[in-house]
Formats: sequence, C-alpha cells, structure tokens
Amino acid sequence: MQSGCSCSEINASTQGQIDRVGLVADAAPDCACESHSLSQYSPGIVQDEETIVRMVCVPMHVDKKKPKLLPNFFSHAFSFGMSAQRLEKAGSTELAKWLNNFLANGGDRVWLGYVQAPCKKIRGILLQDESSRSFCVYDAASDESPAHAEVCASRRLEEADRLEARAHLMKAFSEILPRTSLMGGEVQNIVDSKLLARDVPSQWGSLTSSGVSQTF
Amino acid sequence: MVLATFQMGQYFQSPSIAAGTCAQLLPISSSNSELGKFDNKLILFTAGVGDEQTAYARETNEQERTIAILRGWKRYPDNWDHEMAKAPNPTSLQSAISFMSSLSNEFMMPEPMLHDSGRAGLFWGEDQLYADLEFLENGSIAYYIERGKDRHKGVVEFDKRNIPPVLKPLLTA
Amino acid sequence: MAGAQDRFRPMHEAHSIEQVVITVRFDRPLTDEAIRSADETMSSLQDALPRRDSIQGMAFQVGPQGMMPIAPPIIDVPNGIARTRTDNGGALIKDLRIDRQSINFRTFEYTRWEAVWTEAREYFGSLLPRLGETNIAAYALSYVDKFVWTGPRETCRPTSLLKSGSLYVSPASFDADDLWHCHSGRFISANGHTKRLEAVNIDCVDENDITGITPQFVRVVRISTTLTDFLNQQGFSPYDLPVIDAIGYLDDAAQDLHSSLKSMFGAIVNDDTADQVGLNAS
Repeated sequence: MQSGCSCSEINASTQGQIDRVGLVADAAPDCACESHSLSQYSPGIVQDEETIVRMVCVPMHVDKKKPKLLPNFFSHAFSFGMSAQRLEKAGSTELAKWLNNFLANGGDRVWLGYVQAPCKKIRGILLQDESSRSFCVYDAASDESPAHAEVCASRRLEEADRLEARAHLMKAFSEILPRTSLMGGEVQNIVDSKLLARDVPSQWGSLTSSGVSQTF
Repeated sequence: MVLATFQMGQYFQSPSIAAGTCAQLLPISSSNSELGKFDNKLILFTAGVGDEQTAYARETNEQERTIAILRGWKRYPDNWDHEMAKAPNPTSLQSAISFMSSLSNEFMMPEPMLHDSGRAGLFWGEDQLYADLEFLENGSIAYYIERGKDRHKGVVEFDKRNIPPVLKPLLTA
Repeated sequence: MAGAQDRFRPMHEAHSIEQVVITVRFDRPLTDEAIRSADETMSSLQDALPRRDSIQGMAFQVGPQGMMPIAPPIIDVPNGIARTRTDNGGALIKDLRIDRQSINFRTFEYTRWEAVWTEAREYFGSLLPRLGETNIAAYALSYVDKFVWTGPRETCRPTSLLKSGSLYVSPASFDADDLWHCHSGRFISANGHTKRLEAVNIDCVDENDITGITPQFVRVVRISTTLTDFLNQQGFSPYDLPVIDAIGYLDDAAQDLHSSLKSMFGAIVNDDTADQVGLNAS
C-alpha cells in the first residue's frame, strides 16, 4: 500500500468523503484492501463465492413507469462506496435491522425489492479492451452490521469509462427480486410493519406482494 | 376594413376549442381612429365552416413531464438522498433540461435521474437500447450507449440547442 | 385555507403555454388568384397539416341601424383556407389559416421559440411570395399561458401566481377571492416606423375539465399576452413592406416580439412561477 497505512486506517480516514473511492484506490491500488478485514466485527474478508445483495429502496434510483433500476442506483460505487450486504454472512435479523434503519432515515424510502450478484462476477468486470479489474468488493463490517460490504471502483475512471463500468454493474445485478423471497420471507416478517406498509408505486406492486421477479 | 374580435364566454369556458372558429387577436381600441371607427365601415368577420371539431386541450406529453421533474430538482438541498449527496448542480440540471427540450418526436424519451455527485442524467433502457448520459459541470455530456451489438462511449460538447450529431442516430426510435 | 400542496400548476408541467399564434395582416384584401395560389401552396403541407377546410366569409355593414349582413357574392373561391393537425385524441395541435386579410399560424405544441418560428417561417416563407401585390400592414405574436389551481376552488388566490405590483395587473385583482379578470392594453412606439399595441388579458375562470374520469370544474388563470406591430400609422414614418420579400424583415420582427413578450410575462408572474416554467433559464 502506497501510504503505509493499514486498510482500517484508510477506511477510517476517508469516511464520509464524496471522493472516498478514489482516495482508497490511490492509497491501496489493485484492490489491496480486499484481503484485509476492516474491523473487529468482521466475519472475514469477502470471498468470491459469496452473494452480494443490495436493497432497492430509494425512489430516485428507480424508473417512474416500470419496475426497473436506473444506473444511479450504482453511483455510490464511484464516490462514497456502494453499500451492500453479504447474503451468506447476514442473518435475517441483521438485514431487517439494516432495512429498518435505512427506511427510517428517509421518509420517501420504500422497500421495493432487492438485487444480488455473485461476488466473483462483480470482481470479474472488465472494461472493453482492458485487463485490469473495474471493481473491488470490500469487507466493511460495523458493530451494527457485521455482514456489511462495499462495492467500489478499483481506480479513478475517466467519465465515459465510469458510465461503462456502471452498465456492467446493471447487467451483473440484472434481476430485481421480490422482498418476499429474501431469506424465504423471513426478513420481511421482521421489518417494522409501519415501514413496510409505506405506499408502493403501482408498477412495483407485483414485486412487493406476490413475489414475481423482474428482469431488466 | 376592420376585423372584429370574437371573445368566448368569459367565466365558464370549456377547454374545447372549435377548430372552425377563427379568432383574431386584435382588440378594438376606440382611441385609434384607424382601428376604432365603425360608422359605415365594412367589417369582415371570418369563421371556419366545415365539420365542427370538438377539440380538447392536448395532453401534457412525456417530454414536458420529464422537464418538469428535472426543473423540480433545482430546489433539492445538500444531502437530498440522506446519504450525503451533493445538491444538484445548476449547470448540469440546465443542460439536461436543454437536452430534453431539444428532443423531437423522432427520439425515444428517457428517464431522468440525479446522481449523488449532484449531476443530472438521462437513461434509456429499452430492448435494443441502453443509453446512459451524464451532464457534466462544464456543459458537456458523458455517454455510454449500447445499441444492438454496438457500443459507444465518450464525452461530447453540447451547445444547449442541438442534439450532438454523434448521439442523434443512437437515440432515435 | 389553501393546503401546503395547493398551488398553480403550469398547464403542461414544464411550461404553461397553451398556444402561440403568429399573424401577418395585409393592407388590402387578397385577390381570388392569391387565394387559389395559397391553396395550391398549402396542399404541399399535407404531411405536416393533413386536414384542409375552406373558410367562408360573412360581411356586415355597421351603421346607424346597427350591424346588417351583406349577401355574399356567389363565387367558387373561398375567403380562405385552413390546414390543421390534430392528435389521436382529436385535440388540435396546429393550424395554418389564410384569409383575405391575414395569415395565421397557431400551435399548441411548444418546446422552444426557435422551433415554433422555424416552422412558422417555413409556411410564411412559402406563402407570402405567392400572394401578389400586397403589403404587410401589421404582424402580431400572441402567447396564451394557462395555470391550473390544484386545490379547492375557494382557496385559489392570485398572489400565488402574480407578481406583486405588476404593471399589467390591476391592484384590485390581488385581493380577489372569487373569479376575476383584468384586461389592459396600450399603444407604444416600437421604432420610428412601427406603432405597437401591447395587450394583456388575464382571466381567472372555472373551466370544465373533461380529461379525468369524472368531469369537474377547476379554477384556472389564463394569461394572454399579445404584441401587434402596425406599419404606416399616423405620426410614424411610412414603411412599405411588400409580401414578396418580407420574410427577412419578419425574422427579426418575430424575434423582437418574442423577446418583448417574454419580458412582459416575466413582469406578470412572480419569481417562483417564472422559475417553475424556466422563464429565466439560459
């Protein structure tokens, strides 16, 4: 690592900065921090075999007419770091707690569904005509959320390259899954019922009730 | 000759406009001798004949709705997403609005979006078209487009009036 | 009392323009030959303006006995031609009309001024040279803007829309809590050879909204702003503008009218409203 700092130190010193992904990549290029746990709460570094899950909750991230994602759902992967959960490491209680906190933090947020992708697939994303990885998947455990992970761009990208990388993420997380199917419905049963009952836009109705999944 | 105005009922108006009515917009002013004199002047009042159409006010279209959404985002503050997003960048938003205004009927209509960077974007996600446009602070547009099997990416200047030639064939229906 | 969400919504969300009308008026009636020539020219606009109608005229004489109709002569040339375009729902989108006294282009579709004038110019540019020996006496540009009150009618207040102290709004209108209107106009000098009529008509009316499942009355404010430039008026320098090469003059004139109307509209609505419709955006 270039700075001589540990990954924990890099993580702590860059928290909350909009350029955090770039700063981490500068300090620890080639996804060096993937092989380090960031906190004492970590269940271990993220393995290729794991499934990375991201909840769909923010109205700005979804199409106004169809139950589809917009590319800005992945914007944080190039700025603050894109928050995600490790499916095999998280229990339903942890996921429900994360959702309760997230939904409570924004009055317009509604749990519409979730997307998931194999970690190996995310790490395997390459831009056209390039051989170096586009994304890192870091263990980003906290005491509240030990199974928390972050998907971050592996380096500072040119503007158009960033959009191409975003398109690859769209394809990797291509299927929107209904909330009833997350851990067999266990998570939905635990999430605060008031938060769960928030109005769902009509085009998302099938994903929040009957359990039909939607592909891009 | 003097043309007379024909004014519809004032307080209860239907939005329907009879297409056969020819309403001149010149009000009569008695303060001007050329226009206000009626005595022994011939007045020609023209009205359309032909099948009367009951024309209803046209619906607001998707282009207009999208521009209204973009314009509404101007008022968003910092942290509008509760995850430390920057307030929308005015130049970026205005570029996106200008781009939308420049789209004619031959173009498919996109979805508007706002990024945590404060930049505005437009997205087309149809069967054969994936197009992600991001409006940069300097007025240019970053784009990544997949059309069928072809891929295109780059940054292009935008004069706020005309769709950049490189984008035109990629975004038309 | 108005709820927090109650407001004046611009008719088409991004903008409030219901229609734009561009008019060119002649100093003498067009001949039958001119009308025939115009009809032929307009037939080439089939794609843009598919429907054709004849305009028949009725003449009246106004005198001490009041208004008396004059029996029209029996002729096979109409007094004018109209070509229109409607959308799939039957709503009028555009129409182009020529009669003995004028050409009018009206559109209900508005994205930006340049697009409107480009289209109007195409029509006027092809028609004017074919109208024989006549001059332009006047030309006008008119905008009709419409705002719809989203709350109960009784909570509608002009101050939510209008600029306080506006030159174009009667002070009494600001206190209105029911229907009202304010119509005003004045002549000004546009330049040494042009007399300009400024007309502003603002109406707060209840309109029958038939677009929803159940028809209902909604309260709307319609703002009509018109500028008409007259040539060869008493007290102004003479200026002959033959139709045959008037289009270049009209290019600049139309732009000038548009800019002036934009300023007038900005002087009528408050800053929030101006912002909402992108009035001051570059």
